[in-house]
Amino acid sequence: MTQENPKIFIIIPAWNEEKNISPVLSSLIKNYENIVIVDDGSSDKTIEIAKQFPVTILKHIINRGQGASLQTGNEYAISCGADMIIHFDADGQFQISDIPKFINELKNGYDIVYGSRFLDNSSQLPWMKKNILFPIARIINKIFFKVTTSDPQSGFRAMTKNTAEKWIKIEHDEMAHCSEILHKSFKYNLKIKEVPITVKYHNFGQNLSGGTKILKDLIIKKILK
Amino acid sequence: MILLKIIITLFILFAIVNLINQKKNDKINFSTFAMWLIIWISVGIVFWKPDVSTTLAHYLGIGRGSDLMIYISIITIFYMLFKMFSHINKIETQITKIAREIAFITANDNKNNKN
Repeated sequence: MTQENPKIFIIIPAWNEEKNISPVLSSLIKNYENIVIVDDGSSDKTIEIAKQFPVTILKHIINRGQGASLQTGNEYAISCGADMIIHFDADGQFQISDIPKFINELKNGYDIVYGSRFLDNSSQLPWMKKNILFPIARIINKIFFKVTTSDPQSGFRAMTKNTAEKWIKIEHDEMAHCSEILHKSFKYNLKIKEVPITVKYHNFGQNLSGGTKILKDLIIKKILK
Repeated sequence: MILLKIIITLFILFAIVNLINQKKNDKINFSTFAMWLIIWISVGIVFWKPDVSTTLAHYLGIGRGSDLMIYISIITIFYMLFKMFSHINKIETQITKIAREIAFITANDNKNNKN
């Protein structure tokens, strides 16, 4: 990796994001060159809108889930010679101004960097998430996966090419990939760093049934492996 | 009762013939064939000679033959459910791989067309 000028790929999984994708891409293209949209079988105009920007579009012909989209993006970035891969959301909840923090920590030698909504109080988390869902998720992560990060389900993360290629191959196609990536980071003793991020919520995101589904997916995959 | 026995026997024979045809046409492997053949023959034996299940139940320390049948049925259903889950999981993974491969091919085609 060229430490001074690494080749950075930003992977954005998108499923029916026609309302949000345009402002996200408008801001990103000002600062970053290699942006990859993985359209996960959208039925709206996500692709048509994305085509108006100088970005690479990978299209899943059918919906396969966010985890599958991220792995598609990772594999594409690796094949294009990426040094660093950043996972970013299409819904406009993450702040582009936070990205340099991730890049700096990867440059400092960390293998994987996670954004955390709990390292400062800048994110206005919904009450249910902050007080019920995340504490439960944190306990499950700690007991079953030996994961001790402050944010149990952060989707904002960055990793080196080596990490994506050798250690973090996402097998969970749907939302359980967050826990899977965290688990693998700890399992393979990767150098992990958390950085504070600000998340501006437009909607609730994962609810209780979503959380239960993640847990079910993790258990089934574990049994079937 | 004899009418029911005849109907069940005909059904079992039909199932076994179907099973043999599937094996002949290589649609199932030997272990699946053997497992289903044993299941259908066992069902036939138990239907014609219910005492067999009672004897077997006593031998295994279970009170009644019908209890033994229920236990075996539950174990079989759970095993089949597990196999189905496993199979579906494998197919899901393969579908994702196909979707991913198509995405790469399309992206490369688009890149080549632009160049």
